[in-house]
Amino acid sequence: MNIKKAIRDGLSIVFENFKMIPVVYIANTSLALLLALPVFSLLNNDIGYKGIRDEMTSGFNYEWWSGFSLNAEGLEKTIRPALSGGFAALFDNFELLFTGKFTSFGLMIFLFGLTYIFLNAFFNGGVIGLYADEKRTFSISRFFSLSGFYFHHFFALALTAVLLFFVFYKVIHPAIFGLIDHFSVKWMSEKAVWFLNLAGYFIIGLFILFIKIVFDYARIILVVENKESSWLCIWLAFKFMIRHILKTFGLYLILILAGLGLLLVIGFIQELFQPKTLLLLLLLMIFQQVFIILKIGLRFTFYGSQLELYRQYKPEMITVKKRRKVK
Amino acid sequence: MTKRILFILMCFTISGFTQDIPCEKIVDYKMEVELNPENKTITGAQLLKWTNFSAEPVQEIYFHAYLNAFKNTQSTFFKETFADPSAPLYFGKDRFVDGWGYLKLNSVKASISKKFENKDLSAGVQYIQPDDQNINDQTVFKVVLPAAVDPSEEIIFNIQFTSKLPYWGYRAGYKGNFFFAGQWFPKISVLENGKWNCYQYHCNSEFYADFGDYDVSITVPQDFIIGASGVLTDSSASAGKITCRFVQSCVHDFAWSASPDFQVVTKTFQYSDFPPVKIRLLYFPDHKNYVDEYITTIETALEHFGLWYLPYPYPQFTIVDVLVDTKTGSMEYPTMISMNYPWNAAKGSKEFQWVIIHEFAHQYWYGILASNEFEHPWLDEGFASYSDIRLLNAVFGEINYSKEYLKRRNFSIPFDFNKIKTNPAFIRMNNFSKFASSDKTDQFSWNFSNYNSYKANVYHKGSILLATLENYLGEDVFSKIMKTYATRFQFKHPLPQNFIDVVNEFSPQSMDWFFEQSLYTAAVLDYTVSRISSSQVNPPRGLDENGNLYSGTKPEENKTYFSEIVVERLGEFIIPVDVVITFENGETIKEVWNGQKKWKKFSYQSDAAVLKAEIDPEQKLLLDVNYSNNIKYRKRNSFPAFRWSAKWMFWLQHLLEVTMVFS
Repeated sequence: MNIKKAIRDGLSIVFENFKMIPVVYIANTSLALLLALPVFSLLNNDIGYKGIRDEMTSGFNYEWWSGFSLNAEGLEKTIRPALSGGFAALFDNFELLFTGKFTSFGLMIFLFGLTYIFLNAFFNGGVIGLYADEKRTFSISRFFSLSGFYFHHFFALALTAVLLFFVFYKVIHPAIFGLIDHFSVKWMSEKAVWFLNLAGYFIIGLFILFIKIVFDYARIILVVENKESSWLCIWLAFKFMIRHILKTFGLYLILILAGLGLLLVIGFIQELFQPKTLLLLLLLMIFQQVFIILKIGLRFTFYGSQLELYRQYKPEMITVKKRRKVK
Repeated sequence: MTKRILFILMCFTISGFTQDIPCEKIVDYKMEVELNPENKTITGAQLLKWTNFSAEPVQEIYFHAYLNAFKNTQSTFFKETFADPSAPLYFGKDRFVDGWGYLKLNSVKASISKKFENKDLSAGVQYIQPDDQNINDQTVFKVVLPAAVDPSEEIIFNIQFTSKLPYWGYRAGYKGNFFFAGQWFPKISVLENGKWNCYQYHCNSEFYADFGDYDVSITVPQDFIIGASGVLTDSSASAGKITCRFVQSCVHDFAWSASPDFQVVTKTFQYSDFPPVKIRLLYFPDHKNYVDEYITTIETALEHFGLWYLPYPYPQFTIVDVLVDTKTGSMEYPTMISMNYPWNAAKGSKEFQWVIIHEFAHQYWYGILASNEFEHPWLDEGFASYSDIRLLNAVFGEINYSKEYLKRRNFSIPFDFNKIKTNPAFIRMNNFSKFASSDKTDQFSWNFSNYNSYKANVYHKGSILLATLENYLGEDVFSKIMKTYATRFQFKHPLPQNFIDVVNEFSPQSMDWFFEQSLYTAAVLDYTVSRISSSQVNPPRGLDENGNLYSGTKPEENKTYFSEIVVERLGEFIIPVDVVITFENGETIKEVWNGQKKWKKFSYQSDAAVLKAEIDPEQKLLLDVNYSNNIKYRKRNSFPAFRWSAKWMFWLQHLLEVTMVFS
């Protein structure tokens, strides 16, 4: 019941403050455009006059790509067959989470990813600040004012999260697969080893989720409880999550399922819809941009719902605090 | 128990299939060996009869002891492997802790009729290093005889040896109760022109040996199943062990594998008047899903290669499906291959069929035509790669691009891109192009600059140079060439010149110029359309012959265009090329350029502007390292770039949102 209510209330907050979504969408699109323009330029120069352009109008020419990729540098390396499919390029992105190979698309993409993380550390202050406010009246100035107000805390949280994930991918990730290799090295069944590895990836996923949830609640606690210490908020968030592990994970998993639903829709649209004319291409681009907007909206729904879930338990938390004080 | 009964029944069923194939038999091996699964050793005795077919007496006999490549990291094999970052053979400490491999000679005795009888020559055994003087390498040894073997005389060796299989060794090794014995016994070298053609075990080399008869009895624990070269003729069981005897004539090596986990499937291939072939598949339970594909792919290969080259001459063909997580790999041995393929691989890439066909093709270009893989590796690998392309294209059609997600040791989630089709020849073409100028193709296998260049210039270039030749000469002529070469040199040791001679026999002109460039140099073949232009022809201005100003027509009324196309040879490889020019009115002109100069200009005056120019429009020249520059349009079309950059931008937008996990 709590999860359902939290999601309903979270959605309602997001709808009431939907004007924040375009702000973040513009940031996302602007960053992407900064790199998409040089990609257009290099592709236009490479295939604009070539015979393979006919095939590239409706499909993908593997032979061209094989040659092109042999000497590819920088952004050129990111032009790959996966872009042709409906799902493959999106799977590539999720694969990064499980492998930790964040520089596999090159340093430029990596730096843009980091920039987006810290840019959103700024925006998240405005988003959660507004959601936590009882009045919830959105205005650009108020949004940016709250973003600025919480930025140093949210930046510290984002930096801590990034560092924690760095340690995770450098220490825990290899340790998990090191153990798997150690145990399975003499196994004769190929399938058994495969499933053990799959379990390893599942554990990686749980770890990522765990860290993510802690930091989400840390931001909420920081705003709701008006805390000054980001570290303390991480600790409180950790305690909160452990105390309500089924609810916090449950909420997250339901929203992840919603995200997967969105992904399936856009994936199938892209899979079935291979535009061969400019008009159809523009139509596909509209679908894609709607997906990005919905994805940002879903992310805000995470924040809103988690905030509401936290609020549902807040009296209990206060009670706990009071008891401690009495002692 | 059921498995065991079936196995014995099969032994009797198979016996009698052995055929005597005519060939020049220089060696005659009789071996009795026993596998000890506990200490991973094969102990045994070898009776080897060798005939000196040369015109000179021979005082020293050279042998291979390939397993010593795995004795320690000082072997030439390991040194070369570690020195080459592109070599695929990674032997981390976790992979090799359980033991090194070696071949130990317990005693070496020999007899020559009327000269010496069962003479112990163990003291005269010397390890030698003919290739690199690496004194720590023990993969070649020689035996000094007390008396020479005269021409046409026979010597009989009686060698007692112990072969220790390495853990996860390359082409030979064990894991758990799976054992694979390749290059496992003392093998005599090839005497050519009075000299021993004998090389060490290298990172990038395969093998060379004489034809002869093999009669090998292998003893294993009773619950083990054996797959081996040749035909199982009989077996006997006692004291918890089973001994199986495998016999084959006219082969030049013998490999075997054993495990109690093997499942066995057999089927007899019969087609037209071809001799029947028993296909015997040994597979692990995890690979049950591949059984039908194994059998049907081999049947397809037997049929087509039989028609294209010559019918498979041996009575049996064995496939040993090895554990993926070993380094025994996919490899060819006479009348047997090992196949290493994961249980969940992508189907659309047809890589499974591709690898089987490739390994089976070696039965012809390594097995039946036993070229020297040390000296001319392309004669085997290039021909096998050409044959796999030919059969895949003829029967299996285009292949899909596929990708393996979350790939790591023993794990991946394959994904087929059904919309991205390609041709195996193009894959080989692209894999070759990056290393096109690194090395020439016909050279000793360990002299390539690195493993990648070896693969590119031996496997890929070797195959596409044959495919290019086929396109150049025409399918009919080339089919005759391949069939003649296969038939004429079966059970022989052909050299590159033998093949070139056959080509020249059927070709309307000598093709020496082609082989000189493609085999004996690293010349790069790359043609491009470097410039394409059209401009409307303006009416003449100024004074005409009468001293009056030209009145002329207005430019818009004049629909004549002057077009120029410049084609260029970017590489050193010279070959005549077709150039097709297409005009905007649909008219086409075909030109032939001999490619002798660095560039050639074609000029036209016509009533339409030029649309595009294409070099080699039928894509006959698969050796061209960059085909995408062969076609050029006069006007740019930005739509494809826009389409792909839009897709790219959406991918990046999504990636940026995914990074929010870390915020």
